[in-house]
Amino acid sequence: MRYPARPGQAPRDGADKQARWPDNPGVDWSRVIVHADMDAFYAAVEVLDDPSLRGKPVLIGHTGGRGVVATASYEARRYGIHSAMPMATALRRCPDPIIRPPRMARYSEVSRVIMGVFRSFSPTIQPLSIDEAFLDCTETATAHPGPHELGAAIKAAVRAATGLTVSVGVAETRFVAKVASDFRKPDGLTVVGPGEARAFLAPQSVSRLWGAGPRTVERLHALGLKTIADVAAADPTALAASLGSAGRHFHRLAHAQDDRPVVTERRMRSLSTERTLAEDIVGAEAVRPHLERQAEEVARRLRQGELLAGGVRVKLKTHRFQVTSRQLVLDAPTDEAAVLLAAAERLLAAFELGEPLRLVGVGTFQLSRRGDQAQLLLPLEDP
Amino acid sequence: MKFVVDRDLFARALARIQGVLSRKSTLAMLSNVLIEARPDGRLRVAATDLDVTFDGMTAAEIIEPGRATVDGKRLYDVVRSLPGEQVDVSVGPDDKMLLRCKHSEFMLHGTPADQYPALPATEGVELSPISGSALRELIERTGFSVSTDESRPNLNGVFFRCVGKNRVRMVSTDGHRLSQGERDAGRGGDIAERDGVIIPRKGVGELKRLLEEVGDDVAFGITDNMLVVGATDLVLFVRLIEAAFPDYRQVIPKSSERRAVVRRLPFLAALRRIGILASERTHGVRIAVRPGSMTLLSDNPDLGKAREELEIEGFEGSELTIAFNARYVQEILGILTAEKVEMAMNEALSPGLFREHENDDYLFVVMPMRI
Repeated sequence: MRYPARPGQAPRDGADKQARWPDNPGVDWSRVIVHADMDAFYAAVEVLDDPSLRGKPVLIGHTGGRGVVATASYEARRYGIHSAMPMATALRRCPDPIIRPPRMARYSEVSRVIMGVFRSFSPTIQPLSIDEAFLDCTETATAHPGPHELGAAIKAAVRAATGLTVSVGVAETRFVAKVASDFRKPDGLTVVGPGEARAFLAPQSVSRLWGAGPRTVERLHALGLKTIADVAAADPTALAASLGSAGRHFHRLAHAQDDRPVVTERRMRSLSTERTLAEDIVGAEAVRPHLERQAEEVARRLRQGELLAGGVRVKLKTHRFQVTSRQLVLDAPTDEAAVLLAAAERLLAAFELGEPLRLVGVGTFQLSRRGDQAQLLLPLEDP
Repeated sequence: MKFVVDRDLFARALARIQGVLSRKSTLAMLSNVLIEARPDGRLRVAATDLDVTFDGMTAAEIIEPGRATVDGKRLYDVVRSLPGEQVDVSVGPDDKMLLRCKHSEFMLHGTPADQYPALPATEGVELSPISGSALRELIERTGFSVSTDESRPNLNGVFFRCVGKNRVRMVSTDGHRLSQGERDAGRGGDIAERDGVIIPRKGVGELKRLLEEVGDDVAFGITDNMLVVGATDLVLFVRLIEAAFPDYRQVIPKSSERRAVVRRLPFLAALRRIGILASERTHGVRIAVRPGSMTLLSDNPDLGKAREELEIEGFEGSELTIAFNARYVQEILGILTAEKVEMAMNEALSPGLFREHENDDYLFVVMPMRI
């Protein structure tokens, strides 16, 4: 039920925004958060563009010695293949897959369509990556009869616009929505309503906890905690003793407490690309073509975001995994590939390039929007 | 090699070289420290990154002379954590360094000392006394605006030159602002090259550290490509940047149409306040000056607005609004010590000049922002 504002206390702006669904007016949702996650996105786009791939194990990634699987189709996943697995391992598990190199430009194009669909359901969306986003539908939800209908409408709209399937979770918090979207993948829809969240989370593995990486999971296991219910029942001080402030965070998540808002726009601080090379390369001449390609990609992404870069960074990793980087501040902010490349080449000259390299990266920083304030330069002339 | 050394002395000698140890270089040897037990009864603790070299001597009881090199950071961490007052150190032919102190025992893997790069020597360098405190103040007041843009090596250091009898000047710029300072520095001032040299940023930092430790009595010299600064039992070598410093004098305004005298601390406090609502990236703050007062303004579409009125003690010229990176002006006001500062301007898009009121030793040029 809804609680009226206490007497003498004006309702804060935004504090009175609960959603009440037309079909179920008895249950108020404090917030309506949707997490939408595309199913095997890169692989699905490849199948979309080449229907002959449908039903086959498709791997997206580079086949060179160090290539990893970026995405595996659900058919390939049956062989135990998952993303980030070395391509060589994947090939041992599935002897005859169809391998396609990633086409990032195409995926970005489809991603923009998908994000546009999301935006038509709520102006408050937070993309987490190219193929997933949070939507805060608290204020727009009641245009739909109920949460299932809202989720189904998002799925149908994505399919109509792109031909692709998306898994959707609807809940009151970001964390529960994210676990829910993953619950019945692919093409899933899971709604976790008010009062259902703790029971829904209870049997899930602790690895579902947001921010719990392999080492944290190990520590939780060492404490005898296997499921989220175990964490919820654990003594918070014992959790904090083992995991520090993260312990409290996990305890709150396990109790389905997560009041972090959906953040519409995160001001980007840097934008970069890097590539692990198929084979080690030696010397400036060999590095240059990689700088060129990456400068072009960074420039394209800057233009997409209507951003200008104030500085350029080049990062190199040697075959012994030593990472060095050099950076410079540009005379004037730019989104032009040629300017980025010229800067990257100047930086390249500052490296000791004796050793074979396994990774080349070009990054930009001091990003600004077009039309922002500009620091003027002293008219210094080199003699 | 074998010696016994006071733990605190050894730790201090090792602390001194930590800034020189290189962690990023591909030459692993450069993260090592060179330890030499000398037949003259002194212990040498030295390190170089090929550009900056710290070479120090410490008292020790030398039992068997020799040379060794081990990881400098690890050795420092070990020595300063040892429980007793005396440390027994020995290095065998296998380059393993054994440290014993009370009931603790450490073995550090070393590298043959003959693989350590040759260190520069003071032989043949003409050294003259110079005022360490003058140098230190110059570094403190001009070193902050050195450029970190690696593609402009001639701006990656402090420009240093002699400007008259015993008087030295330091200048640095990052392309947005410029700092210049001059001080009488004693006889060594004449040694400073008339044409000037560029001391790299890292070397300036190490020089400041040395001056903080040794006080006023330092000897100073410049060879063709090296700055040499010596104190008792301690020498710092800094390889100079071999490039020409830009003609900085042309960007220092010769005359100003507008001139305001402001009390320094209230100005600094107001900038800090108004800067809270400036753009997080550019820190742009508008300053409107007119006879009798000035107004500081920030306007951030995402956050809000701020404004503050400040009294001006003296003003010449007509009204003007100009925008600066608040951080740049704050840094200058924070470095100066006088009660009042002077701000001189021409137009909104021309450089502004800051200095202490009635003190011409230091001046700071800041390029405005277009807002």
